[in-house]
Amino acid sequence: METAVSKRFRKTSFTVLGFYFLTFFACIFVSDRIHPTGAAIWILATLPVLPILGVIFLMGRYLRDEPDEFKRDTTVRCILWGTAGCVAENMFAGYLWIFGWKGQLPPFMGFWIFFLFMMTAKLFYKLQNKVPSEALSDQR
Amino acid sequence: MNNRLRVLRAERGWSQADLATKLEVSRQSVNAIETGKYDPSLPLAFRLAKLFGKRIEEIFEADTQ
Repeated sequence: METAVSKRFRKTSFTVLGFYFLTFFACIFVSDRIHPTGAAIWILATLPVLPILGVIFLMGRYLRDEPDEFKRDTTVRCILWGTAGCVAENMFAGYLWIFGWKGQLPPFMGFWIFFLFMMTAKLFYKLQNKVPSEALSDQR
Repeated sequence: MNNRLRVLRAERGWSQADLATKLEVSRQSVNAIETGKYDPSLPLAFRLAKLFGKRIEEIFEADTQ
């Protein structure tokens, strides 16, 4: 059963993510055309970040409003796993740099690691808390 | 934490879905509580106690270990 709050979160976050991709491609397009310098670079880099902050705000609102505490608990755990992945990636990249590696990890690596860890945790919790059919659950 | 949720539910002939609807939570939550994978918060434990007309300690029991 999906609560009204989680439905609202899903809808609004998809809208904001759509806005993110729109902003992202618009900024790439503008960047390729005008080859920005100075303040324009900062503005172009900031614009696609705003929808991501919007999704984080929506996550916070979802956690505040979700009446099902088990779902809230699971969501927080998934976000924590995502954060753990992101921090680990950041530390790893930092140590690579300290130990003399002159290469560079792909851009947005932290974001993808966050997403990968969060979705893996979500899948794990989903399998772990798989709800059996009513008949089976009553037999146990 | 051990609990008697399944027994109490069965006594009333309620399915997990019925209980979930009465508590306004997901069936996944009811299943997780019943199987001991998740311990409910105090407000939810009070709601369960009120629903079954029991005291919290008549439904939930702390692990003896």
